[in-house]
Amino acid sequence: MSSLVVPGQPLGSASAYIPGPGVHIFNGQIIASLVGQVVTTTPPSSSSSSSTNTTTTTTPTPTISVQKPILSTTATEEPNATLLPEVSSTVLCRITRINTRQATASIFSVNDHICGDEFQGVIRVQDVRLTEVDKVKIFNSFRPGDIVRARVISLGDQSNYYLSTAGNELGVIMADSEMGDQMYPINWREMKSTRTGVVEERKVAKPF
Amino acid sequence: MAAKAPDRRRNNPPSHGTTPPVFLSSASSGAVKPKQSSRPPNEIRKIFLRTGLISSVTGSSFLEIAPLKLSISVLGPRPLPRTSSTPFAAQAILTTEVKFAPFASTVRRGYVRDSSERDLGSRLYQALVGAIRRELYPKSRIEVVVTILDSEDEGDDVNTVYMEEGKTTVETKFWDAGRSERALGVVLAGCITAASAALADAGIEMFDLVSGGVATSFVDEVGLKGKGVGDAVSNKLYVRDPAIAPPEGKVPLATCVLGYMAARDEISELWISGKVGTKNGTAEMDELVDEAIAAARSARGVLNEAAKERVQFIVDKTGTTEPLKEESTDVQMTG
Amino acid sequence: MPPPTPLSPPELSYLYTSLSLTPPIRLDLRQPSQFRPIIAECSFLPHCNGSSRICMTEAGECIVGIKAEVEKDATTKYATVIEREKWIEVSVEVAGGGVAGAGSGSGGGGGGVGIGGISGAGGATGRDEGDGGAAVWLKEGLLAGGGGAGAGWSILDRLVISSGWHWKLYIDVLLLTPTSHPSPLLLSTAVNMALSSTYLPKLTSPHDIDDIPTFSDDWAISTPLYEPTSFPKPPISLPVVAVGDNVFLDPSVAEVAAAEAGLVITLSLVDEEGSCDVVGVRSMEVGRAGGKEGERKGIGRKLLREMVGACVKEAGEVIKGLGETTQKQMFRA
Repeated sequence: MSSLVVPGQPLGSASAYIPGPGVHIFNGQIIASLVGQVVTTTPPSSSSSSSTNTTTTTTPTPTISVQKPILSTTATEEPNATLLPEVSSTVLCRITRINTRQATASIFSVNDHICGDEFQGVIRVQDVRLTEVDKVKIFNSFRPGDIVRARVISLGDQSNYYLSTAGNELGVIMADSEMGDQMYPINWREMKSTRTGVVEERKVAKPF
Repeated sequence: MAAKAPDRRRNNPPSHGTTPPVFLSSASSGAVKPKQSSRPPNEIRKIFLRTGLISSVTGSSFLEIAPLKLSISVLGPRPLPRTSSTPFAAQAILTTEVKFAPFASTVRRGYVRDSSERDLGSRLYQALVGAIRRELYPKSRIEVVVTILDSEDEGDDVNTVYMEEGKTTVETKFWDAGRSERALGVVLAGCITAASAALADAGIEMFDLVSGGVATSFVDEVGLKGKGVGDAVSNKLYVRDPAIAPPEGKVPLATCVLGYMAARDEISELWISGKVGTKNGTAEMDELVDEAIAAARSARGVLNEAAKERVQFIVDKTGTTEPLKEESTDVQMTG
Repeated sequence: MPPPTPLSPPELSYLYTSLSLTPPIRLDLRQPSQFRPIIAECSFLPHCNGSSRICMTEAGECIVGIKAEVEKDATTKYATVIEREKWIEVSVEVAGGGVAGAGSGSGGGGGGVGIGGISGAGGATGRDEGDGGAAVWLKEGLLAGGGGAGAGWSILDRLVISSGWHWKLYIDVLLLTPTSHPSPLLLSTAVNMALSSTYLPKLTSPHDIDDIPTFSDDWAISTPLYEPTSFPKPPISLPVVAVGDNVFLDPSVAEVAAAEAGLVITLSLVDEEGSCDVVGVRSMEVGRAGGKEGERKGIGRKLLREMVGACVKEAGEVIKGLGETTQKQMFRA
């Protein structure tokens, strides 16, 4: 377990393992593509499913992967430089610009990991919410400076990732009012200022 | 996270500043010139290779082979510049930059990269581009920046021409055109090896590590004077990782530099310069390539250990033989 | 970056399949080792010591003019190889400041365009494009070729006039067809022909005198840079690509885009039968290099042998033919 592997090093036959992250297949062999430790995880033998299907699966195929150890124990606080947004990853972003068609956002966190660099994304008006899409107005959903939880729906064009906030748990999670004080959500489409009590419209994410 | 949107038009420095690497001074301060002659021709010079010296970039390495010293930074994968000219890239775009420090060679070099530096950059690109799993990093840019701090070059004393009043003493060595190829070859091979280490340090997924190898074929000086081209085949001496000074009484014939992926037995970059006579097939070239591959294999051993070294350090420091990742897989299961 | 192609992924995939068949089928139904026709002309610019014009179907047209100037040897402390290498200056420019290379006129090593095929110009970020990539590669072939390093003969020896003086050779390549990725074959053929047709004025002052040398103005007794009857000849570089196990000479742009591995091999003719010496090999960037998981990432040793072997075997005839054409045109003039 503790021995380290380097890229190009064969780890075993492709038929014996399911390739996980950090490995690739070449000539029927599983080959490491990172420097790190080899991890094999056997999926918990879901006895219920295997017994219902009367297939003769003796032991489930283990997944093999290579992981690069991280120095700090609080791995989530260290910016992960090789992290890129992927389709269906959940991101946190800051709204930078809005117009009637879309809101432009700057992604700073992907799947609860801080990125090394900020990525640009857009939330188009049709991706703001799930229902009554044609009634959505960007102006009533986001304002520049809002912190938004969104999901990547496409890698988009050359410069923007396409994001969506269609979903209960997606939308604005932190926002300041026009006066500049913090607001708290009062329902799925409104937030209220802590100081003045002014209510502003937002596409609000469901608090956990 | 109070950082503003970064300026994409320039090569941005990290926002939080950098700390220059501090190297321990060597115990024996009296620098002794390494003796070249004692090395057998099939042995490469000792390589010093370390990774992770520059903390502000994704990955870095430092390499030293006799007089050659170079440091490599790997940046990215970072987002592509927001210009309209960059098309959508399904695979990561690799950029390589090689720069000699102005003081790296006998003759001072300018700050603007000259054509040989650009050429080295594109060779390095060719050597690395196939090895990186670029499809895992769409819409991004991986930058490899090489700074050569010191190099063995044409200005060394073997090469000096004596110009006196009235008469000029020019030694035949002066006319040796293969010297510059050998010097550049050693630099390129060093760049390839060190860049692989830096990429591995950055945690960028690769199909295989690429190590660089150089070999030069020499022939007897006397055998060449008389007739020439065809007869010089016999008495060939292959030197792996050649130094600037040719062996006694020998003149260089051809130099081969290559980037080699040992685990796949594939050559990712090949550069042969000089005569590899082939009136009857490619046997001579094969021998030269095999020598260069052997040099690359030797370098690969160092590369493997260097790549592991820092990770081993982290493993030792965290004190866990089991990777930390166990919990996260559990989370995935429940979620 | 490999040269851009207008081909879509399905088209490339089709091309790849048809080129990897045994026997392979090329788009223009050529044999794997067959070259495309070349229109070549030389020694037609009166102000030049040597000149040539090459026209190719796909790669377009280019003109090379070679001019020689008398120059005093540099007498710095480090009058080394670097100084001597400066005796030849190669530059590649696109006529009318075309697509690439515009704006990079300066620089000692010669501004110009980066060569598409050769090992990049790739890795080059946007701002670097238009550097002397092609020029560097052409010059390297020239210095290595014809005996090359240590093999006793170098073109630089021919440039020595007398003690303390030498010819400085300016090789200017003008691409008439605007392109960001000039074909290596086009450039090298043009330079090869121009060099074969280069004549230098005959020295009339004694060899061992340090004064400014004097020359005869009679072109009839001028000396050729490369002896027309003896060897070596100026080198020529040929691109060769591999798809699967098949090797193709003179690949088209589409074939380069579909190829897995590519080399540019510099050859020098050594005898009348068309035998060639390899004087240089360089990797060439091709479209499919660094493809998906499990695919070939580099060149195996066997493939390398085949690629170089094919070049050596098949290309001699082409190079010989080119030399003969040059000769014919020279004597007609």
